[in-house]
Amino acid sequence: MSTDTSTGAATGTSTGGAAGAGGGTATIKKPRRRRAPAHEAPGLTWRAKLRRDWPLLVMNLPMLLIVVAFWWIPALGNVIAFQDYNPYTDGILGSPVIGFTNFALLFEDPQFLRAIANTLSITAFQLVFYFPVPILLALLLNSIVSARLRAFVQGVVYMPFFFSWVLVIAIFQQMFGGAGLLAQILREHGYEGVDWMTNSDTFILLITSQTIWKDAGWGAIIFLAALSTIDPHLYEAAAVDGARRWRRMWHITLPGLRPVIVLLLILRLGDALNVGFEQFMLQRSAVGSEASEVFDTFVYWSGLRTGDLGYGAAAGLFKGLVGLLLILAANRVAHAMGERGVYSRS
Amino acid sequence: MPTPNPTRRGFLGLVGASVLVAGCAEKRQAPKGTAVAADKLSSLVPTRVPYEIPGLKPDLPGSEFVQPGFLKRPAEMVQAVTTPPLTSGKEVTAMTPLWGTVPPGLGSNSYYDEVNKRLGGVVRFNISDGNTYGDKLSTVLASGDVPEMVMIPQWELTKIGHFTEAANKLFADLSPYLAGDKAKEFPLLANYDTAAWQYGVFGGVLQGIPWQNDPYPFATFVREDIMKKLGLEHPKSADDLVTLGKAITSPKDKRWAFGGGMEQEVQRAFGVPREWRKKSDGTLEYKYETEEFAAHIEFVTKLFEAGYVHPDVVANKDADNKAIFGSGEIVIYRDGLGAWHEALGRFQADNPDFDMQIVDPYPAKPGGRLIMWRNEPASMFVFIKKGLGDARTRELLALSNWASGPFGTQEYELCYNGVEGKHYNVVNGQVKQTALGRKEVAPTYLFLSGRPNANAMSQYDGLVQSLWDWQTKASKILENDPFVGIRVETPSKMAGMATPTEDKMQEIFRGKRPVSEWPKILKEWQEQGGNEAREFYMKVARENGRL
Amino acid sequence: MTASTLSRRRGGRRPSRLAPWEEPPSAAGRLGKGTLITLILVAVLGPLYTIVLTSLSSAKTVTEAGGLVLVPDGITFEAYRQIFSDTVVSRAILVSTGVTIVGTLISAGVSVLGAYSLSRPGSFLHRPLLFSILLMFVFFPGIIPVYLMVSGLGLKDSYWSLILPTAVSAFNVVVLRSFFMNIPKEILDSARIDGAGEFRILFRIVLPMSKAVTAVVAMFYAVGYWNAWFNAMLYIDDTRKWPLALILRQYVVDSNPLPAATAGVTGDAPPTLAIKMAIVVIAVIPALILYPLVQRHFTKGVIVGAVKG
Repeated sequence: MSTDTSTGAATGTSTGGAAGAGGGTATIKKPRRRRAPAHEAPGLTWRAKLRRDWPLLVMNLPMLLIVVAFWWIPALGNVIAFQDYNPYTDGILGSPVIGFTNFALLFEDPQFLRAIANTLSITAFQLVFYFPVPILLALLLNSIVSARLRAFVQGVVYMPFFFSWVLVIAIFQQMFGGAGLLAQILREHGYEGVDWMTNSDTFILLITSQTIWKDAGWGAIIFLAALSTIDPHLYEAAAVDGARRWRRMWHITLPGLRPVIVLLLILRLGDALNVGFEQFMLQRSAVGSEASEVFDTFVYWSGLRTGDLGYGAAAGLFKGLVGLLLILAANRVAHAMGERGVYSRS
Repeated sequence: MPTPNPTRRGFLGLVGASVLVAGCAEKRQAPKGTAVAADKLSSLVPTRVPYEIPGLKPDLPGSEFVQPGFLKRPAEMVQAVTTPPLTSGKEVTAMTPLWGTVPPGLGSNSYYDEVNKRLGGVVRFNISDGNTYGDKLSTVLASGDVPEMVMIPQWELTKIGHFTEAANKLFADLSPYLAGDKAKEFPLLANYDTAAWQYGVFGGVLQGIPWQNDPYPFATFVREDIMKKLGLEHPKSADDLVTLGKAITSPKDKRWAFGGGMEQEVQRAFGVPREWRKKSDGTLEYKYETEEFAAHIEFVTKLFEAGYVHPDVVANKDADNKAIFGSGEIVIYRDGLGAWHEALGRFQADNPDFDMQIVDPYPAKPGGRLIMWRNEPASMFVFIKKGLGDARTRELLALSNWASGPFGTQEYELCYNGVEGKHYNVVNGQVKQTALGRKEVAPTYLFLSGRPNANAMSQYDGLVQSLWDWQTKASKILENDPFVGIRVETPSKMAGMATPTEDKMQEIFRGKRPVSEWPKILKEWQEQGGNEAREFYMKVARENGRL
Repeated sequence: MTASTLSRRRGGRRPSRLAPWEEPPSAAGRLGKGTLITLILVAVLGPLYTIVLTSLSSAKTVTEAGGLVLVPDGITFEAYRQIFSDTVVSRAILVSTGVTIVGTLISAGVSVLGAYSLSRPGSFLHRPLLFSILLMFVFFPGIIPVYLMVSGLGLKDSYWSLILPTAVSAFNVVVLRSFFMNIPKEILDSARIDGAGEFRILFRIVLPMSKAVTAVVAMFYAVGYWNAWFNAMLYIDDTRKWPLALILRQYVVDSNPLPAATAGVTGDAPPTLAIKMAIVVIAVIPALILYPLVQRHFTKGVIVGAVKG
């Protein structure tokens, strides 16, 4: 036995790495989650807690300072959402308070509902058809046996993340547009050319494939990191118990990834009204605004029309509120399913 | 407080938050735009005193709407300003956009050093990418902390809410220094078109030093070499465009007839006004409301339907026309006049056959009425910070005056090209940048003012003459709108409606909406700001005796 | 314990051969996987090929292609030469490198400390502090208030304005925290019983066990700093302090608004597509350098090793 082998005790606890995070479905033995005596004992006075936890507060302090200075205080500026704000004549203190008028203006616009509907259907569609892709990609990469090949493929697939949307769409246009490679090849062989870039009915497929091409490799990285925290002994033990490849994936790999998947799912829901801006602006004339109007583009256009910062702030607050509610709701569902989620009850 | 309109009440009822109503107040109206009558305007802006460059006579005479043409580079450039404008020794701070690569900064840029030496003081530029300039501008304006001089393009200031109020609060009133004969102190500024100066009036105050525009916003250009190969002639009417579209388009050869923006040329050909037009019943109608506009939509939609428009343009109305024009994938497109020499410079070196020509203005039907839109007289403005004091404001105006030297002056040469022998050499009567020039010369000083344009790209065969001929023809059919000589600031509601409305028009072209939807889109435009704007414009027109 | 598990943990990488308990993949499975990987590689490398090729093509070739070049017609490094001969660019590379290194260190450090401090449900002020990070994830403070804060703190024209406003990413903190919380409690508790303080637990146990995610988060931050241009545009007036991302943007501008073009302000040779694509390639290079460094930490069995160490 060399120094880096595990002791019996360590093996025991290490299963917790996957199962403790994973939850019910694992067939392998799952240690009971014991409550830490010192830290979760209820009924401590705040003084006692402070005495115990002050090192944590010290650790939090640098982050707190930055967040307060560059987020909390500036975020107070959002009060202009409730004002008829004019930065030049009245300023933030002098502008008249008009309550929820800016919000009402937002809802009054018939295009608003269309934009919300488009945005939410894109989010829903991409939750099903984009969200799993980085996970599957990570699993695929992880299953490549040759380390060199694996590193190469990983290095390649995450590169498109660094391309701008302008470039990604230009590439798609040159491949699949009416004057693109595909269309020209078809024409050379006597067929009708195709144009996949201007079909509003398949727009959602188009943008999702663009998103997959651009972001999936990047998105896989975090899952690769999560995969690396799964204890390899679990696989060996399962193999010895007769679990084949797919069973091991189902019972060890996926439970190991579950906390990350759940976390990212919740965060993605918090971004439900954020499906991107540039990608839609650039393809607006191709498919028409009926198909391409999303929350951010709507706010941009109506903001231009009203030229009003208060209105823009109201839109931002609305988006944030929806995101927050979705996060909290998803978090609650996650708790009900025995997951930790993002925001834990103490 | 006016009663909330039904939709809003409906929404609040829906939410069931009647409490909110109490806290819900009407917003003040968005700025309605302002107008300054012709007679009052003249008391605000400089009296024009044309500046003749001593000893320099253009080969082709200029006139109000035709740029003077220079068939070869003048041998001697004239020094227009003899005393250095900067006298206080205090650094000038200026915020300007920049299109192009970033030059080395102050201290490591000999071009800056040379110009500053000539100016008698240092200008510290705060430059920003022209494409994202608006983001920085709106932030800086809202923060209230502006540099001494700020260049603001017209297309950015329309996006800034309450711009007129911002300008009135942050920037100096220039009338005390420039109105009427006072401008004689700054002869190069007094040389500007009066119309351009009038455009610098915001909220009844002269604030911006204008960057003078050409009167012609754009023209139709063709690839003459390809047209010749196909045995085709320039279009003589919009009808010819259909014939040309059919004759040129051949997807198999990767060739389409038209690039983007053609609809604007078609509008002009159909006789659509650039903005407002007087109707026979004495009211005003906007371009969208004219019969000609509706007809043009039908016409352009047919061009798209027939597949005569390049697919990249179909997919993106803002697609880059220049590259596909250079490669011969499109043969006819619309662009600003400056695109001509730019394209020749870019494409002719590698493809000597590349021949680009400008198309004479054409009507809708053969023999129909010809018009040319008259562009806005100014497109960018330089503002001077308020409260700098009399002496400093004068000093900065002198700097602007210096930077306004037209083609043929040493000041112009220095701003554009730097120092001869160092940043450029003159070879065969043409300016050739040196390596140092390419690296260091970024024409930031030009953005401290504007200047009348000249037609002087004599390095391209025949360009100067053809452009002069075209301008001479176009100048005869220039159409004035009812507001020439009055400064009207577009009401922001109406300005904001323009893009959404024209986006929908683009969707009709591309078959994403039926042509029959246009009246509905028009109605939306009218209801959401158009009618209100008409009332405002009619009032202005009536007050000025234009109706 | 077999020899195979030993070697698996040693070099930090999985060896190219299968563990003895691993069944050899079926022929069909290998074929399927091979095809899939090939397809993925083609889908990315194809466009990348045209991008690199375009960046290496002459203006003439690009003009004839009317866009990205698919068929090579002579190779020239002119675009790269033009970019790198620009002294402004070399200076900006230094600025970007400095900002990225310092920024990443600060961000990763602050985030690791912050995430760990939030990984103990029930601790003092745990909920409000965590909630404020969550709020940060969904609400944005708006450009102008942040601008006022930055200039109020006197950070305008300072490199700190490129670091501090974006130093904390709520997403990264939440992800780090989640990974920290996945560490079996038993390990932490036993350390605590042994008398280890929070700092000691973080640096001796939690961090070594979270190398992969820490490396990933550091990379997220590094890439963010390297590509950031918006804050520099707002806060840095002195072009000598501009980072590379902002300098390179200026090369990409060619769709000029009318007046500048009509006045001929742009000169006669607007930047070519070759230069634009060279810039795309340049932007990807740091990523290529960075990734192998990060990937090294994707090691199996860290948890087991950490307990011993």
